[in-house]
Amino acid sequence: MGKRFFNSPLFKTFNDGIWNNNPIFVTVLGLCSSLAVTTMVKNSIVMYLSVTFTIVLSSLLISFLRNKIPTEFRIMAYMLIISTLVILIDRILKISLPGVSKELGPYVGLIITNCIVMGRAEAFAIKNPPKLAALDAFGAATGYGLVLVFIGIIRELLGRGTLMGFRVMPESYESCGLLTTAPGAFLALGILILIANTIKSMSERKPKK
Amino acid sequence: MTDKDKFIFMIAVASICTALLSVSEIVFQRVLAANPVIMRETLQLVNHPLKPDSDVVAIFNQKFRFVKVPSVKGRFIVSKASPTLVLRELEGTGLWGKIRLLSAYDFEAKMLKGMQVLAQNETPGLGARIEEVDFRKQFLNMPVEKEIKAAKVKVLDNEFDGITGATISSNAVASILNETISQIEKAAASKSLEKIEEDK
Repeated sequence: MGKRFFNSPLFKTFNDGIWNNNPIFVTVLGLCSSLAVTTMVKNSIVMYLSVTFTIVLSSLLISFLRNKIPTEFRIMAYMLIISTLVILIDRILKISLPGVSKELGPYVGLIITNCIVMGRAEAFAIKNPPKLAALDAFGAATGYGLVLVFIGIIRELLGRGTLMGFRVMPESYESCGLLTTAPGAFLALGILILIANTIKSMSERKPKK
Repeated sequence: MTDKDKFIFMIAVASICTALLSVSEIVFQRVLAANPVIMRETLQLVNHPLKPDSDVVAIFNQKFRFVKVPSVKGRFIVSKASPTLVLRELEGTGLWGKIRLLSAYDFEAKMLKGMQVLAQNETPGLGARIEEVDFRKQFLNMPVEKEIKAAKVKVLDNEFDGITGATISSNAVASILNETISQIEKAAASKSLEKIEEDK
């Protein structure tokens, strides 16, 4: 395995979503939900799982039907499939995690309009076999989810002094209320993008062997 | 692919999606009906500690029971430990739609013991603030000698701080609470709330 695995097209497809083509850092999609639901790590994780469910299943279905979907109606077909999946996951959340579902509010339903889902369908799933499409979708969802969790950690730790609901910071820590509000989300996201881009430009400067 | 094929394909996809959603809607409604929302809200209203995995139904049955009163629609929730504490879920008309409240009232002490908003469609930022803790905590241990009123600033015992810019929503809360209290008082006066206990 080892090196061969990392050079295989399968891994490349997956890694594209996480790093080279990260939906938030590079293509800057899905910002609305990533700013709105990241006040707590738990919400970020639930949002990540919901998006993964939607994006992987919709990419799989679209990829299976890619030769059948009429070109001029493809957006309509995507919308049908995506919205069905999102309504399903919204109901599942309402039943199994009523508390989290209430906190996420309309943002689960708004996955329908999340550009990442539609973007992966149009840019990848419609042209590639199901196996690759699913992997690409999973990569994109994980790239999105990782950023969500990072923002969640920054905002929950500094904004509330807790992580996953447990008190982490010492009692004397004065929590920074700014980070629980929307401007704080922009700040956290901006800092993350700065770090990611710095790492990227540094790794590009290295001489290639 | 001819136009007819495309048409049939789109109709097929749409039908499958619709069928899937209809089935899920039926399942969802069933599960929700069995979901003990009222029991959970009741326990939270009386500050019973709840963990996410605690068995709400069992704890509820240990602490409370449902009582049906003849000629009154719906049910009353009576505490087993202190039988004068009664909870009631009641709906009234707000500005944009129905407001549904769950309120606790002690008919012996003549005191409200808390209020929770179960559903509302008021204006976000104005009327919807009836959901906020700061507004709701006014009804914890509020003495009820006369009818409750929404005031600009609370002066008398039977008043509460209404929400500025949301007079209709505040008044709606007051009228729902008054209706709840009068229903509980009536039921208590007719001894309907105790009868069940004697039967047991």
